[in-house]
Amino acid sequence: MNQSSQTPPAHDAKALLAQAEAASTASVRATEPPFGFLLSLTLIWAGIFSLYGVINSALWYWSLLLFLPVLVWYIFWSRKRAKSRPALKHSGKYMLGVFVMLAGMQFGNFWIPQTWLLVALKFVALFAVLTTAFWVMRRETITSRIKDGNEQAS
Amino acid sequence: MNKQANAARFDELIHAPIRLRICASLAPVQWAEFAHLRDALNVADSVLSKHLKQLTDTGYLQIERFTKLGRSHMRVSLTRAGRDAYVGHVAALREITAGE
Repeated sequence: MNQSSQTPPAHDAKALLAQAEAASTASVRATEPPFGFLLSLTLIWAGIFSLYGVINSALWYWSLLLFLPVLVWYIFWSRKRAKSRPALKHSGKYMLGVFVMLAGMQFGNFWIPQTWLLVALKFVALFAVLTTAFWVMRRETITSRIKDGNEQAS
Repeated sequence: MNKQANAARFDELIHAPIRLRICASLAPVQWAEFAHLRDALNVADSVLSKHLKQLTDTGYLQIERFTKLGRSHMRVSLTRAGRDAYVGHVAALREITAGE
């Protein structure tokens, strides 16, 4: 159905492929969480976990409520977007990002800073590790979803 | 289950640039609302409606209409046949450019 023997010349096909790739990329980028959201999440995460074992435990658990406004923002943001199709297969770099994120969380649990200077150092370390992990995971998810969309039949 | 599309198949209907961009925008998502699609492709409502109708009539797209908070919305998604045709068409374009 709809097959044609009239195939376009190579330069037209190249231009069409570029258009398709641009449309797919824009569609995927519009449905992935914005980097600002991930940055806010990381800031709060690093802040809370750098205070783990330093402040009163009841206060620490209450501080988890700081995630709430970011999650509400994300829910409202995603309501105005298309429904994303999950990546069917993740790359090795994505899995490495997941591993680094989990390792960072474990590191956050084991290191209880004794001074406020060490709290600041732990915050910077956690922020750097988690931001890098989220950035890699987001980038790899975008790449995988574009590849899936253009190469995976149903 | 998903499988890799092996058959490159040039599709004349999808070949039109606007329809190719519609399919390319819908391929990585489960569905998109009409307004999202119109804004993403930067085309007029009438132009988008015309092309959506052509793709729907062929069975490549599925359109679901619903009402939310008293406003009507249109949700567009690629059907299985549409996804197969789009993936096959992209593969055909790649084959053409590979011989360059």
